[in-house]
Amino acid sequence: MTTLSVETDPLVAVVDGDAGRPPLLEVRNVSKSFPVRLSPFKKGYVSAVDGLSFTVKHGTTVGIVGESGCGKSTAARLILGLIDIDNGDVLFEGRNVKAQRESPQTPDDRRELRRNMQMVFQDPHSALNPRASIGEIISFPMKVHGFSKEEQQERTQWLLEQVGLHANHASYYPHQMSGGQRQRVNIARALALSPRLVVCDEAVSALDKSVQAQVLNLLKDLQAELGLTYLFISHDLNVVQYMSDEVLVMYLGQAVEMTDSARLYAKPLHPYTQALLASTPRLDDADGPVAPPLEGELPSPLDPPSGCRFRTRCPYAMEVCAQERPLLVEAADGHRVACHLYVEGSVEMRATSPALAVSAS
Amino acid sequence: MAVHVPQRSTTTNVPPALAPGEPLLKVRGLTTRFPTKSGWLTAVNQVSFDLAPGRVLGVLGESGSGKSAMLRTILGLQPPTAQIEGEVILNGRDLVAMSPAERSAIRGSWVSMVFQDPMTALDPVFSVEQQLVETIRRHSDLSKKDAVDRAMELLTLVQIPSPERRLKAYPFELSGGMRQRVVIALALVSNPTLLLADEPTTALDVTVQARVLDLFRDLKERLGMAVIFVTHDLAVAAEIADEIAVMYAGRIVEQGTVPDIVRSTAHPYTRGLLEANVRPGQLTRPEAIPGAPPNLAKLPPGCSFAPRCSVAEDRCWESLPDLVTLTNTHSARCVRVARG
Repeated sequence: MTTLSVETDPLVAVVDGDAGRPPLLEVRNVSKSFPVRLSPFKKGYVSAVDGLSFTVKHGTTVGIVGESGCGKSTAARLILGLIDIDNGDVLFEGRNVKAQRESPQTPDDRRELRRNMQMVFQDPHSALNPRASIGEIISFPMKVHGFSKEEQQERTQWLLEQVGLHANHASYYPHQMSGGQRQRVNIARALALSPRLVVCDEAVSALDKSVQAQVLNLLKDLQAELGLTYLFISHDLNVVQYMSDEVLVMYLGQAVEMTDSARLYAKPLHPYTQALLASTPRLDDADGPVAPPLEGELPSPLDPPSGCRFRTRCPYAMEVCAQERPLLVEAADGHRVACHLYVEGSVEMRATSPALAVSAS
Repeated sequence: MAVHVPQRSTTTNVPPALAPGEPLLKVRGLTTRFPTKSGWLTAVNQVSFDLAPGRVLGVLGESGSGKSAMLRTILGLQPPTAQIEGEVILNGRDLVAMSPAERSAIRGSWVSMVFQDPMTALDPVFSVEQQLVETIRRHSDLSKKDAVDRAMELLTLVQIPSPERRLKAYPFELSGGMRQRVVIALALVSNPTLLLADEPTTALDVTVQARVLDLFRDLKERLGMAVIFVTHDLAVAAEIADEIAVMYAGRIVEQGTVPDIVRSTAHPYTRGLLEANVRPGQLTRPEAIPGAPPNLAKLPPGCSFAPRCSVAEDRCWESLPDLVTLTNTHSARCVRVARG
């Protein structure tokens, strides 16, 4: 069994070579809200992503974790330019994904950007056209981008081998393949144009546990071989942590904590991250089940709580939490958290007086 | 919080008392086959187990392992084209041998089921109150007013905050966790002695899952019912269950208490599942099980796991291994454990 620890990861060399280059992906203060009709005369806005900022370095994996409705999939779509950004910028290799007045995009520019950013979707069943053969599915992006017939065929064979399938599988149809094999086809299609960034949106969530490990290992191997950069989105904290160099925790559209994955597990700072970790069922728990730590429900994104969005469920909520939105501060080197309990440069929770604490329930 | 536990007298159909030490549910050689174009597909294959009152059996398996088909067979929900063999003895009565009318009377009163997807299990055009009252009156002779009171009691029992308000709500107005609590309340209407739960937390977020698992533990203790809890997540099974049965290709391949399964794992498939699971804080590579589950219509003659097993021997392909008893709580269907 090969051991991939953070220190011996072959990709670290790639990261070191990053100096001087702009990061592969830079997300700056991106926000998106969707209009909803509350009644025939009343319109409201759902704030799906609010002030999200992070960077992804070449050859690394950044994981985004959060529960349904936290905005992680919207974030992926914004980054890929599948939906328009309301505010903020997404820079891919220093170039803005969104067309600017000062730098208008030609269709060629856009095609170039699309080619370099690809996505692996969640559901391996609905992401593949049931009436196209696997070969057609994988070569379709190449067809769009003007590869010759021979190039398409040759590369499809190579891609099938890369994802652990047989060259014969090109003539199969999706219904003849298992869920794990279909997800391999999805990955092969995402890699068809040799993208720089691959966004995996819940790419293993629909798979059985035994097959999930196969696909996770495949993604890691491909990254090591091809120097890929991943944005890995999942609700499964264990999987995100295993896959990622850095993890971003989201709650109701906002980033609440970001640090390297080993650190996040060893010392989670934000009360929400702590609750997520404590809620994950575990096998090696000798003490038996712990009481579920999170009370209450996810507030409506139509009317998010003032100040800190987590305060309605937070066991440590103070008066200040209702008044001011906490900013992401660097509590320790490379460990950012958005919580009033922490001040810059300290990972110790500020003492909260019980008189100030507002009962969560 | 003191909650009034409703009396069994609200039920018209009361199961006979069990003799002491008698299992509540005895399943013997249960087999379910479905006709397909390529022949009979065996979804549940010679499944046998006992379940004592107040115990939770976790049934663990991947998609297509027959775990849901087994629950549906126990409940008598399979289509008439299905071929069912074996015995399902609940409170001393064999459900398989019963007429559909008899079985229908028992379904929802002695035994009921919680489904995976709380959105599709509830009717979107009726309020929570209407759905609960309908089910309550179907299983008792309560007046409409008493049935509403009982519905309130049930919502309180499943720990829904401000139940009087939720009673008037429609399913779309409730969050996923709330909806699943309503589905559980519906299953508890007539105080079943056996509750079947088919992946009841799979569609929920982890923080919500933790609270629903907590509710199951609380209900089990308070109402003393037995639960069969089907899941594909070993960690969830280990948290909720007293015993675990691991299913593969329609058969139970290993069965035992939670420590038996997690610490003294005997079957290579269970071991594979344990190692494939990414654990909290894990940085080493998970060990994947190669290949995919077999086609149930064309099972290999020997052990169904042999094609994926890293320690398979020639004899594994020849004949089906017997279920070998390792201790009085632990058994496994593997030729290698027989020897050791």
